[in-house]
Amino acid sequence: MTSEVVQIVGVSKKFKGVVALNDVSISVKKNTIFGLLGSNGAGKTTLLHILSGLLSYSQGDVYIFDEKTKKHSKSLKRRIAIVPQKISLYEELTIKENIHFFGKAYGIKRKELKDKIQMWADILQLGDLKRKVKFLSGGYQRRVSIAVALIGDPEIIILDEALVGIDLETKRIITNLLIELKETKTIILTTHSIHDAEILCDDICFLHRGVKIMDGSTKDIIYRYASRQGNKVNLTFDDFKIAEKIMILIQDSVKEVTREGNVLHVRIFSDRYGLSYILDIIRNAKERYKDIEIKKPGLEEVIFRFMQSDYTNI
Amino acid sequence: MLFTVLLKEAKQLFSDKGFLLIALIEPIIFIVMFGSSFQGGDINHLDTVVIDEDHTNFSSYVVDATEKSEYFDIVPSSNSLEDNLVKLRNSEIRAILFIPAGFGENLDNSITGEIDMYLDSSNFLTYNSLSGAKAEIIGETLKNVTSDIMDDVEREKKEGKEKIDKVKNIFDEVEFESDILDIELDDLKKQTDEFNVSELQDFVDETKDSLREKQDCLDNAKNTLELITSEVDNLVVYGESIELKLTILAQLSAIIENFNNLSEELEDILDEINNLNIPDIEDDNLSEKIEQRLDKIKNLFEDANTIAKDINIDFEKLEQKFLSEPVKLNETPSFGPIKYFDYIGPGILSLIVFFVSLMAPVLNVISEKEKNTLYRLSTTPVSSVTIFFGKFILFIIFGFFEMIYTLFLAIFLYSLRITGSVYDVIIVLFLLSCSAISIGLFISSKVKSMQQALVVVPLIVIPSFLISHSFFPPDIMPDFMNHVSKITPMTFSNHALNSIMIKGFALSDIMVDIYALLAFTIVPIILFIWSYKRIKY
Repeated sequence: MTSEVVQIVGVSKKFKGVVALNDVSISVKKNTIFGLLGSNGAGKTTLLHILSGLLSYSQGDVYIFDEKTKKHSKSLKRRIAIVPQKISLYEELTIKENIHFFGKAYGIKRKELKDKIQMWADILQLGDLKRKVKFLSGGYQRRVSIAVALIGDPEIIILDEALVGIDLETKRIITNLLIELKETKTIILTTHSIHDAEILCDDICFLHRGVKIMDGSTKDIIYRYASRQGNKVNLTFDDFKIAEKIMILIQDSVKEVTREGNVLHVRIFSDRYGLSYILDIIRNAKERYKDIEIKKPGLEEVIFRFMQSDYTNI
Repeated sequence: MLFTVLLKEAKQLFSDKGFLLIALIEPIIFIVMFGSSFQGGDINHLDTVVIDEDHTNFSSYVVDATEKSEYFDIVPSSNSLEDNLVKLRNSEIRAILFIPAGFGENLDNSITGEIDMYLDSSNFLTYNSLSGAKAEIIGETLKNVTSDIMDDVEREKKEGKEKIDKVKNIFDEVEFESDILDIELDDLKKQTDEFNVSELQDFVDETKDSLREKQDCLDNAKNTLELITSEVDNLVVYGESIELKLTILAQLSAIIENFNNLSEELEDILDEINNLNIPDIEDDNLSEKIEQRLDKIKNLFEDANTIAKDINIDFEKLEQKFLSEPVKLNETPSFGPIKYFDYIGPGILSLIVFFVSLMAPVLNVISEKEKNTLYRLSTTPVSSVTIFFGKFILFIIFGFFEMIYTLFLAIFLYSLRITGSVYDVIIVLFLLSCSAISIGLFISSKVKSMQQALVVVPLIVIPSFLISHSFFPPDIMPDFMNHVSKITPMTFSNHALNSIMIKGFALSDIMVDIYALLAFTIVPIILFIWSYKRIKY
């Protein structure tokens, strides 16, 4: 078996003539967290539905565990679990009843189920399992929803905006859990939060209007950006005059410099006009900086820049 | 702000294209369906078999009257009453009109003619309509029968009048002969001296005896006429008969008056003879003449008596007892008398079971769709067949208890008539519940929102309730609508329940309905499973 558990090759999907996905190819490696990013209508949910076997596609191929699939077999469904964006739980049932029901749906035996329910209840800190779901807060409902997905011990977990609209405590629990789960499972998640994606995802794919714009390792993407766009340095001086003076001295040598009061925001590269060059200019001008902050670019900045460049260049 | 709220509500409402489409189609379906079903509005042209075992003019009047009535459509059938009673029991025909042999003969003999009418009472409205329509048949038949009777009476009246005229002529003749006799007796008186007194006395005595005999004849004739007068006077007649009766009475009275006059004249003659002081009369020739005249008068009286006795008007035909009901129609409801609640009872049971059993799965699945649990369940290894049966079995149990509860209330609160087996009723309602659940599940797989469901469910339930013969009989609807009515399982359950509860049929008699209900259960199951896999989340 290859290290890729999911391979999507040139998949297209049309809804009544409207292209939802256009020739999208993605690979998801085993034991990684894969992030599907994109604005509303980008095609994230369509792709998730295809991965969960609920939606067929017009063109291309989908391989899951090296098995070409269009409509998932029972055994394949047993290996994949979904945490939908909506809570999707039986509100009139208790926490335990919900988890128990889906446990049975995934074919878990009664004996095993009891222990598993308790285990996930402890991990997700679900509290009293006899509470009806409709009386739980949004955060608790999301925890139950994740427990329901995990009860069948799936190999792939698909989370659709699972970190949206929940309290910080729940977010912390879920985030930690996902990082732990990565050791044994493959996780595919969609999120609007690029910050969450940067923290959690090993690989990402950015979709825009059904087209894959960018994909790859999160670290690689940021590195590639940094090598092209440079790092950001914030230099704080005693007053704005010094800042203005230094700005005039370096502006021809750096890619970008702006002043905000007594602070200079400088974008630098690791070349001869790098940080040491700027520090030399300050020293030569017989001035001193009060504070220096070097900011490496984040995924959010990468995406922001990318969007500004009309999805053509980072 | 009100406008803003209004605008928001409108946008929300009109954003659901499915809802709008159904809301647009629904009135068309309702109006076309109900208009086509009930625009006639009357229960008529009901299939009727006429069995005429009499084959007389009178029986043909009954057949004609039935043909003329818009309520009855005479259909060809065998002449066996038993065979047709079986058809009636199966509601293949709605009425049998049986005219027994002897019907016409009875009318001829002034005996009430009886006809038997068997009506399908399994359908209250149809039965009531037919029961009311039988008056039309009787009315039309009576018109013809009475006309025939009155023709007879008119003919007999004419003949009677001629005979009375003859009697009158005879009495005119008697009067004339009596006058001559008077003269002859005067002559005889004048000639008393020339007669042998003892012989004359003998002759006078004989004459007196003879006159008394004539008087007796006259009295007899008078009594007969008085009896006739009394009978005519006692008759209760209508219409033209009244005028006829008065004419007869006047003529009889005139004859009796004549009789009285003659009687008085005879009495006077006898008094005169008694008062005669008979001298010696000796005229054999005259005596002979008188004797001949008296014989003539006697013969005339005898003729009058014979004619009077021959005045033969069949007054029995005009008797009140006969005329008040010359034709009687005996009605036999095929399943005994029926109450309106008994008739609509099966429909009410069907409606409640159908509505609840249809609504429950629709609400359940739509709720699952809206809460996204169905989507989540679809991502698990659970098959759509398992999901269907999980829901189906639960709703069947729910529907079963709902049905038992409804049945219990109907029986114990309103003594709902169940002629057949209550277990058969439960089986039929159970099958209806199964079909409603299947249909409900199929609909729910197609309907996208609760809003759409609340429009679609009435779209199915209301027409089902109106065209399934629950409250309106098939006889009120055009034939093509009766075919359309087979699109709902309620038509079959109503037919089955009516057969069990009113007719007392067993399940084996209604297997077509049972198969139809099974089909209405199985086909939507297949469609649901097929459609479930295509639900778009």
